[in-house]
Amino acid sequence: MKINIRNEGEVTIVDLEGKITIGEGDVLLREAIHELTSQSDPKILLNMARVAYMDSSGVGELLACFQAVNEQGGTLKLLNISTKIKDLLQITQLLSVFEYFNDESNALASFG
Amino acid sequence: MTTPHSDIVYVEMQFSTSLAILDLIQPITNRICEQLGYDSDAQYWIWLATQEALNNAIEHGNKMDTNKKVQLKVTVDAGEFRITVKDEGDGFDLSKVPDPTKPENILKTSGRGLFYMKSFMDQVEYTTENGTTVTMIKRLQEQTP
Repeated sequence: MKINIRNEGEVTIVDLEGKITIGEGDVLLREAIHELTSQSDPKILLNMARVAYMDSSGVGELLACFQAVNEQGGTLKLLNISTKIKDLLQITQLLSVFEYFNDESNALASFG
Repeated sequence: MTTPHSDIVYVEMQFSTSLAILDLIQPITNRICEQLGYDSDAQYWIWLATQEALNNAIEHGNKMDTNKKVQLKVTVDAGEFRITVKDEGDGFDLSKVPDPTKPENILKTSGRGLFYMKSFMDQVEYTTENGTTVTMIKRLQEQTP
């Protein structure tokens, strides 16, 4: 998986590309978020437009990142999740845990 | 009405414990799915279930021990697409696997693999004798010629 990090004001946008699966994207995602949570009050938008596939380990890692950011007093939101990833989150009751957007400017505005 | 047909009706392979094998197996299951007429959505979910079973065998069953083997068997027979994954681990108690959709488990960062397998396949069976064997079944849909 490839990760690109860019900043829009106070929000850090993490562009993900590839798959988030056991032993592959999950570790890279964890490391990237770990680095970002060293700041206080991190505001992170995970752009998943180019994430076509995720397994249960990826779902678990997404949740771990969400919790790590919350523990730092920050916020992690999702952008452009595919229908299939939405299904994966939905059937395990996780879709309501995450705030997600289909439009980057709306997502950025939601951070206030 | 006809039953979908695949030229590939039996595949069996054994490999040493490694996640690197997954990329080699995916084209095989996808090819069989294509021949059986499953659309791309169904292929996606069948592969996800297969990968979850393989992940469990590699990580939880064989505990990443490269001296242990994982066996994969894929069969198409009697109107069923059947995927069997066997590891050389100590087995586990299925009744002790928590339901990830219960409120107390929703935020746990693991424990969803089996749930996904059951969600995307028609039937999932487990035996734990000399390792764990999981068999996942997807019934073939009859097609109008």
